[in-house]
Amino acid sequence: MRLALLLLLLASSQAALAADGCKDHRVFKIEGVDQDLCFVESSGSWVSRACVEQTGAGSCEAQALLKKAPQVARLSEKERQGGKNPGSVLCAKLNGTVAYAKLESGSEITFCEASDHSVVDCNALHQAWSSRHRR
Amino acid sequence: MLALLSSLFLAALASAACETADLNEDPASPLRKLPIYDQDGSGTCYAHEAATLVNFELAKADKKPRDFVNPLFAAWVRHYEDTTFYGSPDNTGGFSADVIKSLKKMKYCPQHLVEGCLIDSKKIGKMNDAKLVHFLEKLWENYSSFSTGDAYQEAIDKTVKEDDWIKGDPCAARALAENLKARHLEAISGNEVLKYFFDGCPASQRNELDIPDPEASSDGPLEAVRKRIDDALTRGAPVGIAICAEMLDTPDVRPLRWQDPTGFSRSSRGNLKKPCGNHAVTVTARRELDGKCMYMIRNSWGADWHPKNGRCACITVGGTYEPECKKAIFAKEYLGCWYSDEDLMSNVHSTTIIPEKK
Repeated sequence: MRLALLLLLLASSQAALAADGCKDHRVFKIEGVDQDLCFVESSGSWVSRACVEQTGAGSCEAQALLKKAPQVARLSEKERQGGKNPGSVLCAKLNGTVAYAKLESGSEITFCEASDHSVVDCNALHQAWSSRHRR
Repeated sequence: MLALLSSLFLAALASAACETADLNEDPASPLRKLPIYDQDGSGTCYAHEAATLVNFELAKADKKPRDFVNPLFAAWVRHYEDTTFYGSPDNTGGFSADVIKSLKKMKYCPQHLVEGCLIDSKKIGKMNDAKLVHFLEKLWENYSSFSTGDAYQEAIDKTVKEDDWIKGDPCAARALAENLKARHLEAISGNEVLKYFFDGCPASQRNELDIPDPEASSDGPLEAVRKRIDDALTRGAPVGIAICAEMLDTPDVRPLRWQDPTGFSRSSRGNLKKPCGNHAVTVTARRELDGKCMYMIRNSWGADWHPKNGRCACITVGGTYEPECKKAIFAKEYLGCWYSDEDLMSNVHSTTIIPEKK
């Protein structure tokens, strides 16, 4: 009976996540701190789970950065020189702070932390920006 | 009938020329032991590419990640320590073959010792390797521009207020700047500060880099470039290449001017249309996808780099390798993305290959 209740609770929690735009969630160690992030399919981005769950997709600061990313002008040759990660460059231009996550394999991912400490992955910023700036 | 036969023959030829050579596929491949780097906002792609090529050789020789080459250390050795080159105050831009030669000449400090040398400063400044280097370089640049009054204090103020990359966490950056001053490291260039840090890894603790000299080439027509890349992949070696970064978002962009098919200098700036942000990446696979010969580019923009609508390989959450990751939600790490033969070869400025040991 307890197990059935637990399964029911789990199922309803997952359903709620999906309804809020959180298709999956994963824990990333960002700057050494575990952060629970949601995958939002519409933008292909990993964002802080708390902002998606509590206020609905699109209303946290990190997602505001994602919306603003396409408005950033084309990056200059200097801004791309040396192969800088455009997602990191965009994060800094949007007044976010780049934060590092190290995966178990040793691989790295950069996230953009907004003023309310919510985060979005830098690759999502780059994708949002590049879809407007393809040459 | 003749036309059908000839098209079948041509298709067979193309298929034979595009035999699968994927260094990511075998779970025991050295490439699968290497991290996917994220160079962040630093201009050190060339050092990340060099680290990937060298660490591939080290993994092949059963070295563990703690003994790998650290990309930041590689950039510093090439730009500062090896005076054959510039003795430059910063580390933006360079060539991977030069980095590898410098690492061989000066020996290298392995990853776990580099981490030990930098850990305190990274903690105080709340910075990763890339941001630490950027901060040191920016602080020095601003310091050099003030000649009167408390130049160091003015440099700190300017850096934490105006630099896009630093202003996100001004308190931590100030704390690091003050810490450097307390250690009398306030009036020297970023690379000289790094020298002080890397003194914690003296020559006696460095490793020999026992690999052949890299072969670098920036000349030749498209066919010659393709042959260099194909030959290396066929024998199981990755290839460092220089391209315009714009190509990664817009594969059919043609930053190289149309060239004399008999040969030319691909790396000459005169042969480049602008804008072209020079970038160094690594080719790690070749395979036919939907009848097209494709090459995989391994980048240093993190393990989630995959362009919108790009065709990219990944390790799934289940731990399997998928040459084409169907859904982002299933990807644990992206290993690289596929670009067509035509798009890639038309964009490559130069190649760097570590030849087989004799």
